[in-house]
Amino acid sequence: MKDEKSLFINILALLILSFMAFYIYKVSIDTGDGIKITDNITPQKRVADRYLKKNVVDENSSYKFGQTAEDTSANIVTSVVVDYRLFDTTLEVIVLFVTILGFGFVIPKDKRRVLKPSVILHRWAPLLMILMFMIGGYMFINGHLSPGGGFPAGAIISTAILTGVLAGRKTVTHKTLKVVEAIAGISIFGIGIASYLIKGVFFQNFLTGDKIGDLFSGGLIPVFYGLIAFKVAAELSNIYFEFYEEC
Amino acid sequence: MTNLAIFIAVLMFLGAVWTVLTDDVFKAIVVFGIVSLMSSVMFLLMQAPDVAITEAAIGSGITTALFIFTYKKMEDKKNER
Amino acid sequence: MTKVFIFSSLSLIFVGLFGVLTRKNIVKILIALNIIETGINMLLVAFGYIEGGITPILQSDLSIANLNKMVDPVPQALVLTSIVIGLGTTAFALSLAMRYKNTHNSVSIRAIDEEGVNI
Repeated sequence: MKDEKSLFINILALLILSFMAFYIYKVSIDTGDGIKITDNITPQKRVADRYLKKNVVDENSSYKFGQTAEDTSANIVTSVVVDYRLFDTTLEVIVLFVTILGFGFVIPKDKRRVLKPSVILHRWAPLLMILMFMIGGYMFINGHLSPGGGFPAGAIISTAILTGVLAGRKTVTHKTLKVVEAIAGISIFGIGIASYLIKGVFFQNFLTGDKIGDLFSGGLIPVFYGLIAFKVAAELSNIYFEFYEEC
Repeated sequence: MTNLAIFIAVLMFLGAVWTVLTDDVFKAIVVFGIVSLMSSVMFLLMQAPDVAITEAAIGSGITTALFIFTYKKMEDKKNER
Repeated sequence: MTKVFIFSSLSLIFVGLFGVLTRKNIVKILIALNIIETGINMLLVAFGYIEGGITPILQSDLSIANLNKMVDPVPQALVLTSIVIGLGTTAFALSLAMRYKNTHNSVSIRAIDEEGVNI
């Protein structure tokens, strides 16, 4: 009896959902007079046009490769995340902090002990961790030239710490993580206040005059990405230490 | 390129259906990790390499690890009682 | 290409919605919610895709000349932060699920009113 009822509910849900999916697909590929979601005809009218041409402040400015510009980051996504929409990113990091805080309050306090790991993992874990730290550092230092950035860099660094925990190695303590997170969080807003004192606008880039395409270009962008990477890495490592005891 | 996109999309759809319908939670977690990794390939085909790297590191790596930790912790409780 | 992307992301969203509506195991519901999240991220990036577009990274003077062919960078920047937020909310939901298991000794969402449902 119960199985028949659950089968009936499954078929009903399948019918309703396929009906909804058909109409949403029909609306989203429509290019007529109705709602236009994927309008590929005039992408120049979108807001991204100003970001791509880097003329948000001065409408008539143009730039060349290897010359200075309004925002000297070669990766446009990075320049949107860390320069034009930096408020969004910082508040997002605060939201991540609040969710991890709630996670720490709610989770039951019985931690698992790490079982004795195999000899191969125990021996080779430091080498793996060094390679992961190198890749993470490369990601946030080179984030304005190539794909990557602060968030995947933080994730990769925290994965290195997870490898150390699972291999039974002594990595970092709980207190160090809290100190790193606090220093990174305060520094982001400290730099924001400093740029308010120097330039008059909160979070404005005050290290200008770099050339597009250089390694040390972008002004404050690698600094912000490094701080974001360490904050994200400390917060994500907190999750693992809630599950497993530190050695 | 279009054929590759269609192939990955079909594989992703089948993986998602299998994830939802199966009874074994552990297999569902692992197949969800594979679906997430395939979505990172789709991001790469959409010319979004930043999102692809982030999805491969966070969505496919750390989320799967979290689910497996939770599953292990629940299994411990079952053995105790 | 755009149709393929939109169709695949919509299929992921609705498969996840089906899972949320009909499953009874809490961990399975959370996996289905994660599938919905992946689909919505793909849908947002697919809205910014242009046929034959190129990556929004400046590599030489040639890419500055082709600025109109680049895909939309704004949805990519939004999705980049959305993935990290998704991890945080997933961790919080998993801790709530563990607390539920400790209280009711079951992972079924029907455990409050009846016993023995395990699908």
